[in-house]
Amino acid sequence: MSKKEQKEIDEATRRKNIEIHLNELEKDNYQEIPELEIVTGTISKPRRVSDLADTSQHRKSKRTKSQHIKSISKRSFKALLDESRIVEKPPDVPTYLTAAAKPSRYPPRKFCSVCGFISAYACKKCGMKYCSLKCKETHEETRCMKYTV
Amino acid sequence: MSGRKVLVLDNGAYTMKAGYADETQARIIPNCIVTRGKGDKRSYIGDQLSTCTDFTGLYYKLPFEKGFLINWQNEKEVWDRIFSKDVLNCDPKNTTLLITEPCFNLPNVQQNYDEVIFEAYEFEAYYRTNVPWLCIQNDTTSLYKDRFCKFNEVPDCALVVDSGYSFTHIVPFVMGRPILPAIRRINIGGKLLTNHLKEIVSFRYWDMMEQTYIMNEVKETCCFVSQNFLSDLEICRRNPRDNPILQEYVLPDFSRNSKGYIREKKRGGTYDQSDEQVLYMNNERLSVPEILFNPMDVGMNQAGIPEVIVESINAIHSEMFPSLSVNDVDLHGLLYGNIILVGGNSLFSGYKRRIEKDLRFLAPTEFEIRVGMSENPITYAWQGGAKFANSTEFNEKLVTRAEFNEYGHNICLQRFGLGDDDDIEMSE
Repeated sequence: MSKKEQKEIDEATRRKNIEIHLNELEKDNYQEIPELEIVTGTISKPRRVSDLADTSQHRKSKRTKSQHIKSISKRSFKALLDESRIVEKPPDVPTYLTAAAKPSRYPPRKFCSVCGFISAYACKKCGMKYCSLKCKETHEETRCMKYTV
Repeated sequence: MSGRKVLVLDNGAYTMKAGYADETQARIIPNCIVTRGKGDKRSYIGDQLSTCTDFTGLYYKLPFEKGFLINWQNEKEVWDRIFSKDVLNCDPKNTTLLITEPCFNLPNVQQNYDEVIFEAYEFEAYYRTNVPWLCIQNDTTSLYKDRFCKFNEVPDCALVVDSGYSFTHIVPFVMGRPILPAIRRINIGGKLLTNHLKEIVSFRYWDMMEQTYIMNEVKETCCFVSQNFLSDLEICRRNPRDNPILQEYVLPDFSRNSKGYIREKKRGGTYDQSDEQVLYMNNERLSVPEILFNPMDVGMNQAGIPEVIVESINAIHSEMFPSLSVNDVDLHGLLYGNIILVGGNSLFSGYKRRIEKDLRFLAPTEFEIRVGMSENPITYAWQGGAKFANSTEFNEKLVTRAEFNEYGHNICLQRFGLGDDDDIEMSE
């Protein structure tokens, strides 16, 4: 078990890990919603706080409504983005893709990944920052190479 | 009004701002379904969330993904609820709808809007536009509180900074039209800020990863935009007794207190014996909103709001407007002088001052920087929408169900275009 076995990760992997983390920050819930009715559709509707009793009147229109809506709500944002084919538009046509703001002109600042204060050091292995020996210890115990920032 | 009943619906990814055009205030309704899971199958749709008494471990089902309306099943559940008698009492067949969509909405998603609104809900007529455009329908000059301008009309130039739940948009307008090639988006919104706070708090103090609702409240109560970030950060290092930034936030336990609050700091050495769960908010208070100004702090490789405002303004050139006799300097000056802040993140204290301060530093010195913000930046777009819905222009631009049935999706493209095609031509 030499030290070399824990080899450092390269710049590309570091960037990928940051992307993974950014996707995590986009999530609506920390964990997937447990056992919900989405999967099977009509079997058991969850109990509402105050269920509306007037569904019988509009039953017919509601059924077609929900069928239609179901058919358009299966795709993810990424699938819709591909389907919209805005990638193929010439670069001078403004779209969702061209509107993304550019990187900053200023160099990134460095903060300790443990305590949040300015940090001068980075982990040799994973590239995450820490500011002191104490934070280095915490980092190595809990976070190093665990794909979170 | 011409007898039309117009429902103005600013359909945001986190909350919708809804109300009839003849009302003075919008209702703010969560645009989500909240469920508990884990044995308890109750779910709260939209406004029903206000009847919830225990906000621990809630799951969110949102219609929006990355700021776009993707999951129409979720949206339908929320809309069915809010159009019902219990909430807005809206009969779509006799109602005209004015609805918002995100900037640069995808064309296939726009088609879904048209189909759902006309085919599934059968609204009498409808108009679809975006938030920044509705904002400048307001009397924006009143935001600046100076005596030089008193006219009550759309200003020649305006730049709207809309910082919401999913992202932040910078949208410049010239002669009431959005300048599409200069619109910029920063992928930082309130959701990311809450999730980031959740993460650092969970790493440093308590595990709050499942407590999105509570952490959002903590964010709204404690976080602020620092005017001098690095020196404030140094203050956070101090001894707790000498640290004005440190706050003690008492977490709700949902038996005695259902809402968290900031506890008065104890002066003496006596320790509190109560079993209150306290969350210490120190550098978290400022480093979370700071991400809006430096997205790179979380690894998002984009510039912050003030820098992107400059980027956006610099993308505008007088050659884009051959019919106007202006030069670049005049145009840019007017844009720097008519900045409007909207969206929930504008409510962080110090937000407006910081944007003014950073812009002063970044923008050419000859330009006056004037930043305006409504007292309620969340419903500002709705207010503009309500005003617009009472104008004749609105009646000309909307599409009726009969027209949709005859011409289909194309008529919506034509009428709701906001003159996009013209703008593209201009830019060439």
